Amino acid sequence: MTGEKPFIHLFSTPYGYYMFDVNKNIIIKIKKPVYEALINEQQKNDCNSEIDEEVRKEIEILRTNGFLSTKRPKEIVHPENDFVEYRLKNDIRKMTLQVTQQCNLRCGYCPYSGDGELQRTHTNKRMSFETARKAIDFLIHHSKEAEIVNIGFYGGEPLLEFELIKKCVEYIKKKAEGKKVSYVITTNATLLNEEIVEYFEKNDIRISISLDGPREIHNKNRRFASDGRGSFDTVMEKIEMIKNKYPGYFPKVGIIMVIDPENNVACTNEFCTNCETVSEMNVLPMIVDDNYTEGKVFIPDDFIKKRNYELFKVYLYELGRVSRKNVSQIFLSQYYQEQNDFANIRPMEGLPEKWHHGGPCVPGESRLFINADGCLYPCEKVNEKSEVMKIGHIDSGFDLNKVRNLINIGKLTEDNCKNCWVITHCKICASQIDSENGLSVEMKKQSCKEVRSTVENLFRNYIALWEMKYMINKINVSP
Amino acid sequence: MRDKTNLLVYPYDIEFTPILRHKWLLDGYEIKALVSPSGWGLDGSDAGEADHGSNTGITVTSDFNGMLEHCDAVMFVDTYLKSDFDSIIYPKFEMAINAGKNIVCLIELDGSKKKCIEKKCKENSLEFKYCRIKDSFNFEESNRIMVLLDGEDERITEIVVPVIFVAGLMERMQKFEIQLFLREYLINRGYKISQIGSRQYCEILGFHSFPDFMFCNTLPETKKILLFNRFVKGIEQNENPDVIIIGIPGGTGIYDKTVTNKFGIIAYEVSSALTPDASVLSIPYGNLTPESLQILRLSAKFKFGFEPDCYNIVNARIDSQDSKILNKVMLNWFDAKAIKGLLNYNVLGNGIFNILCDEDGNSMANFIVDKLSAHSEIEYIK
Repeated sequence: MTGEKPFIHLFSTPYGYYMFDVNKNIIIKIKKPVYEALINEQQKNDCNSEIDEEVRKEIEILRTNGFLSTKRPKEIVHPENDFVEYRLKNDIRKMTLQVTQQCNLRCGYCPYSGDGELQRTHTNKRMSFETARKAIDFLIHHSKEAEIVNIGFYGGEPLLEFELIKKCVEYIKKKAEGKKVSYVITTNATLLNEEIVEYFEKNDIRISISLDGPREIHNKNRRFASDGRGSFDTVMEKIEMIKNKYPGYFPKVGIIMVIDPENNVACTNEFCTNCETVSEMNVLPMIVDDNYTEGKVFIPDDFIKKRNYELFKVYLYELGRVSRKNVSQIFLSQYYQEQNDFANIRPMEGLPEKWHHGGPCVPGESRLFINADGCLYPCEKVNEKSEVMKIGHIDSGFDLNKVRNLINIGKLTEDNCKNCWVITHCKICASQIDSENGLSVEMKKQSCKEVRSTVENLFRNYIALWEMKYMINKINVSP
Repeated sequence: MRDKTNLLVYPYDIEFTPILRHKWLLDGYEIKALVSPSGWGLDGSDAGEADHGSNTGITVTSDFNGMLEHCDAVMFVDTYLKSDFDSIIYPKFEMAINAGKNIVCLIELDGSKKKCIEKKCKENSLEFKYCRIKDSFNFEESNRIMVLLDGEDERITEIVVPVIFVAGLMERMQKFEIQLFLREYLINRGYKISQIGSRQYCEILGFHSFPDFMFCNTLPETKKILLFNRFVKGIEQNENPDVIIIGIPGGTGIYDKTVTNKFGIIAYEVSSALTPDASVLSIPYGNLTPESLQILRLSAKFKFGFEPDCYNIVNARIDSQDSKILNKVMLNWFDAKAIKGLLNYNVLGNGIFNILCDEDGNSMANFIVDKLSAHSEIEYIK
């Protein structure tokens, strides 16, 4: 019976055998005979088969130290379920304003460049100052516990509404006395000019510029709406302008690099390393988001091979075997993110009776997105046409029932989640399972397989590096 | 009867709410306006929203200028939310002085700013009342006491009067609200109270601030314990109270390896100086079980020599993620009235309260008084 088996996950590498204890949230190294005995128990439901006395003793030691508990959650409920009202009342930290739905580019992978079936399309709709003002008041009123808040300007292309952005910033200066406010704008950069950059520098507004790689890769997707021309040259010209004329401000300009797996990632790597200007900048890589597109992103084998090779070079860099210049900045960022995720794993004393899988944030708390109409969404990545995702309006506030619906997606697959070893490390959120007919159980189950694979790879990668460091230390110490 | 001074309080936030809830303690003052910087989100809200407790009937405003005309003095207060002194707070001092208002200052000011404000008030024939206890350690006084102590052995003098400790597991555990509630409760029932508060401006509320020497870097820790013992003994002898309430600043222990609450040093020193007859330990809301309370009880017993008699469960949870990132305890607050539905009182037993919740304040105070009364029924023969 499932409930009687220890709640663990076993995996091996060429150099060792490991057990992840779900209740303690810890990975430990175990001996091969112990591993085999536990695998036997897990797979064959056979707790009483003959095992060696030594192995039995080792397993008993593990039990004595609190490992191998069979405990599983009794109910799937998000731990914040009772507190969402208060979190949203007092703790909103970031708000993103959709100042316009229009854009001067038509990027191939942009969900708004489609036919409008699944997602909205580009329109001339813009946020009025009245709506923006209400949104800013809303943020101030709902961030009492936050010492600092961040306001992002988004679109479409937000620089089409530079005058509105200025009005917002001036209003915030008056209304947010006593609150630290930071700003960021996500832009295609094509409309930047000196007047805008000076204003951004003066008001400490950080810029995230979308740049997908060298000319041929960037221009494959990122083209002007007016004539279909690629935007690379214009973007680079703007970046160089900032670097040359505003060197003190340049460190506050970063790049968002959308990685299309169908492109040659090695070329993108080379560009990040060899282009002097780009190599000085913070680059945030992102795989193309296919959550709300008709066709799913196809990941060719060649991309996987090249990605794995680049990750391997990152590990060699971490082990001191290659220099920094040989390492892809894109994959170094990814590696640091993984290391950070792993470092944040905290040991537990056992799964609570009421628990929920990782993934869902408190919708609206950490990245409230307000569209041009004043509707509230959990973040800028969700579908504005989705009723499930619309969690309120600046005039009426949050719809707490909808918020609870989004944080408790584990209820859709409750029995599966109670017995899933990835429960604490899952990354599925509502945006990944949002279908035309609401939150989809089928989409969730499909995502489950991917997440289990991703988390196991995360553990394996960390262990592999740990093993390599251990072996290198051993070699270095040996006479 | 002397007219009360009409006060504008600035900048208002959760730090001042305990005083607001017990405003009668501000003898000679009437709170007319509460003003917060507009960015703090309290503008237009009832002041009780600041601590997520019940409504107070006073609405907070951000209109400092507009409220000046309704007051005789401006009280500048300590806050939890920090804002830039030079660009936000100091200009309000100037505005108040220019409008002819007396200044009552509960904020710690550096020497030059204090002199500057004092001078401006004097030039405008205005009163400047600085309510912090001495910021710098009085070396003359301490040297005198040290000479006396040097000659003695390190014995602790006994405090005969019942003593109540109010402590918190960490900062921001509603300790001051509990201290003021107990003071009000006991005074209203005819008890004579001496009190040492956990803040540095308690004299304006009619009792002692926590003594400055306890934070002095140059005084040996052993001397601090002895000095504190003598300090309390001196209060007992001079004021002849029925009971002494002591609020212990800071936290009693570490939260984890990154958030250490100054290791509970002050709590250790105070509990080494004297033993309480009753105590309240204030802790954040979390996965409370009889076992976790037992651990707290034993921890206090072995570390401080006393077991908490009752607990105040704060209507706030620790935000582990933010606490780790910011290297200080970060809390997620919720409405105090919700706590009744969240705690399983049947399992946790007696002695569990939330000071802001309905009648819990009175229940907690009754609990403490019952404990002290039970103690007094035993006649100790020396």
